[in-house]
Amino acid sequence: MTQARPHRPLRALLAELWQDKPAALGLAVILAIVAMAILAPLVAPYDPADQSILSRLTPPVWNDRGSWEHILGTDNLGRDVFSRLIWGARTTLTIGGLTCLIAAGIGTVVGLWAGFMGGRTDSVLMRLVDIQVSFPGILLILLVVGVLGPGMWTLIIVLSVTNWMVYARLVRSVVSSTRQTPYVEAAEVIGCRPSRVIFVHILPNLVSPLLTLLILEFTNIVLAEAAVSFLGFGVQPPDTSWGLDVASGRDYLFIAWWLVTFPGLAIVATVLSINLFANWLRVTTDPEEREKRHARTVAARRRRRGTA
Amino acid sequence: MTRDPALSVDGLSVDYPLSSGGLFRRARSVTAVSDVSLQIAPGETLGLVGESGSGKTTVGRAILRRVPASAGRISFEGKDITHLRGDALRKLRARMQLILQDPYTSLNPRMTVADIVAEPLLVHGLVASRAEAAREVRGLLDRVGMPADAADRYPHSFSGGQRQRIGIARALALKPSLIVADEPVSALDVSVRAQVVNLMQDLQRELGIAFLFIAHDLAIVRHISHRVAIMYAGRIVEVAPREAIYERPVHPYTEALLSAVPVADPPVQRARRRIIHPGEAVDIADPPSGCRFHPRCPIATERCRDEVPPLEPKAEGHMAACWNRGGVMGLRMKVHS
Repeated sequence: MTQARPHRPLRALLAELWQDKPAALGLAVILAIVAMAILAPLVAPYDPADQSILSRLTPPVWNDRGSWEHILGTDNLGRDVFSRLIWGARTTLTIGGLTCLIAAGIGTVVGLWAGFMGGRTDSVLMRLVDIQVSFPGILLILLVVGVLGPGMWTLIIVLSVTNWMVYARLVRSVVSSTRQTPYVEAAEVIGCRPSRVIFVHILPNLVSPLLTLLILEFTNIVLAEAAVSFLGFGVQPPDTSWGLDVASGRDYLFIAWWLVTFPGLAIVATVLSINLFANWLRVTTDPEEREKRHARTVAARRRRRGTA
Repeated sequence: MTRDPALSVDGLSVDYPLSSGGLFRRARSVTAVSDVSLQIAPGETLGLVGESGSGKTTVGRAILRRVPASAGRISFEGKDITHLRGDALRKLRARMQLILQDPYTSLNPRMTVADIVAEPLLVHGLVASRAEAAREVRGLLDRVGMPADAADRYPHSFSGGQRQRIGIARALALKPSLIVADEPVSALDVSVRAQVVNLMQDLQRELGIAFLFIAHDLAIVRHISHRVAIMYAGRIVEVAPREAIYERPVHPYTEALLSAVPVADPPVQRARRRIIHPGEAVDIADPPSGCRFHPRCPIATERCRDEVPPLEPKAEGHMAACWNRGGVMGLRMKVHS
């Protein structure tokens, strides 16, 4: 794609992003959450593991019983929910992000290989995918964690290994249909090497379906991580994650709604922001869609000026 | 045409697998093209005509080495290219190009026109810098009648005819000596067909390119071709210079094909006799024995059912594959032997 648009200054791109307000907001929220995760020790008012039995289950500040000491309240052990949210962002983003990238990486390579080669290679690789899909993921997770011991990195590896198949299937189907398109044939007749055909002519077609799938999978991974952590095989206390907080706050749902709500809202905000931004990114990588969007923006501006 | 042919195809056959062989069954295959021979001289256009499924596209793809030949020999500029592989094949690609049928899908929608046209130059290392590539692209676009500002735009902002011009510019970039044009105008509006065909003719005159022009539109083939080959069910049934084939067809299938073209003159059209040979189109997975046209042929005899008629001279430069239609030359040869 760098081929297609060589010298595009960053400023022009940012100006284009600014035209799409929701996407700009999405990017801002993503950056804010990432910054919050990186700067957790500076931002968080308390140590997320600090317990205080006296102030347990304090509601958020706007509640009658709430106080400014714990803005978002405390949990059943008196730990500050806001601080846990900030620290939890670290684990959640690392696990969600890395797992998605690794799984997508494995899946893309396998799918590309299968779709491009076709024939026997394709059948063998895809049967491999089928076998892994039919194998219950949680069993594999328990097995690997049992051997390697629990921890964040184990979790990343294990979740990547159990989630790459969906990418492989998607990539394979896109590649094998793109491979038949006349422009790929034209590229081959011109004398392009296979690597050029793959990277210049086939891979760009994967951007938009992969982005969509990555976002859907990100939420899946966050929930899977919560489930595994809930079973005691994932993130280990005193570390925390949003998923783990949602899972462990479930028991207090009726007496302390804030335990589940805030980490849940954090997940929603993250996924929604990524979604808004990814939608913009998807359109930007497609020249035709991009021109249409530009035309709509210009038309809208003219209409506003006309009525004003 | 006494010059060395640019392209010479000898006894070409192409098999397509119908089903891949499993553990216990043999792979089945269908012979899409069998025993096709043809020559194209430098700067000549050979029109290849046939109904859908007659194998004309497959012949083009086999010549470009896109599909493997199961038998026969393809030589290009005096060299046997039937079994070229790897880098040698990539180099060959610079001399032989393809113009595709559908201009809407044959250009990568994510590349600018400049990148599309420059790609062959970059891939073969024919330009040293971007600036040089841009210069070449301007020249090529100008040559195919596209405005200079087209370079920075994407294919979707052009019409079908314009896109086909871009496709032609891409094919020309490598200065090929042979272009296989696979129904290059059948996806275009009638109004722009003539423009694109005329462009191809102009380019041929200027650059001496040989064309294999695959089409089913007989009027356009007549306009552009020097010689015409008619295919039926994977075989060539008749080859002749343009006027000969349109004025004096030999093969019964060619007659029927030509009679199906309407004439733009109502009284003449009414007076014409439409030749219709009833019968099913051939299933080439299970072709008839002997001459493949015999089940529909009005003059078929016992011999047609049993023996495949060879493509033999029936008149000066006029070859046809029919047992029962002997031209002047056919008769003379019989006398001699």
